[in-house]
Amino acid sequence: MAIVVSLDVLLVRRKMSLTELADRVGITIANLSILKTNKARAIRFSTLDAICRELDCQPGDLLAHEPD
Amino acid sequence: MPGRALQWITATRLLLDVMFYFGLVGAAGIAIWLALSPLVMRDGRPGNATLPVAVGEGVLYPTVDLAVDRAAAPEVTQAVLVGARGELRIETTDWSLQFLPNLGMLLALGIVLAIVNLLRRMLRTVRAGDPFTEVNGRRLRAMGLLLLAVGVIGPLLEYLLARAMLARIPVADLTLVAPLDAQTEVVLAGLLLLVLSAVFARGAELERDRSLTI
Repeated sequence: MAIVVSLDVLLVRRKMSLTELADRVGITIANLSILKTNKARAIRFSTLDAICRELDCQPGDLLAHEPD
Repeated sequence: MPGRALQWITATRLLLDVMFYFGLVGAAGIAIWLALSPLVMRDGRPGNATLPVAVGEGVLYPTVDLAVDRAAAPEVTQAVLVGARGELRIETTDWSLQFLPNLGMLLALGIVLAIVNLLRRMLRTVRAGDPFTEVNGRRLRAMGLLLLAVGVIGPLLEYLLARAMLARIPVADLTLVAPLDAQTEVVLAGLLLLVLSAVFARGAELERDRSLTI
């Protein structure tokens, strides 16, 4: 997919583990892993909102478009 | 899953299993008979064969003009027997006349068994709680195509077989023809399954999207 999720980069920058983010955002680690490994087909605005809030970032920091 | 639904699934599964395994035994019996019949029939021992026939002239609507007793019923001006169907049972020493109908029966039984087996596999996924998959969509499509084959090719094969056999059985009392029976219900059921399989495939895709939506 042309949309790339940079969750791993943001987590490293914020020195936060996937488990901690999952706890804070309120979604399962399994679902967060799907997002992190670029396997997700869609992301809810509510999830995006919660991740951006906890990582103190903009949606553009998390998502990028890279043509195939 | 609610208890009543589970009971229904268990009962249906049991029924399908019984149908499948009995069908397998039947198919094996016919296959063994077909394989051994050349040896058994070699000594000219007679055996039975049955084929579908219709009385009269014509293929789709065989008719026979009947004589009317005008003295007893002057108001009846004509009587025509239409579409009288039945089975012709013969006893013959000709091995091929017995072999061909059984070969057709084995083929039909094979298709029915394939459909029952696909249903069993689908039911297994329902019981496991994950029926909306692409595999089940493909199973529905396969069932639809098999039903179409049964509904379209089946009557044609039966007609050709009965016609070829009738040509070798001289019956003097009646005019018999091989009937061509359109199996509209089976064709419609096949088409319905093909449409359902397309709907199912779309549903499976949506389900996959839903499961991968974070």
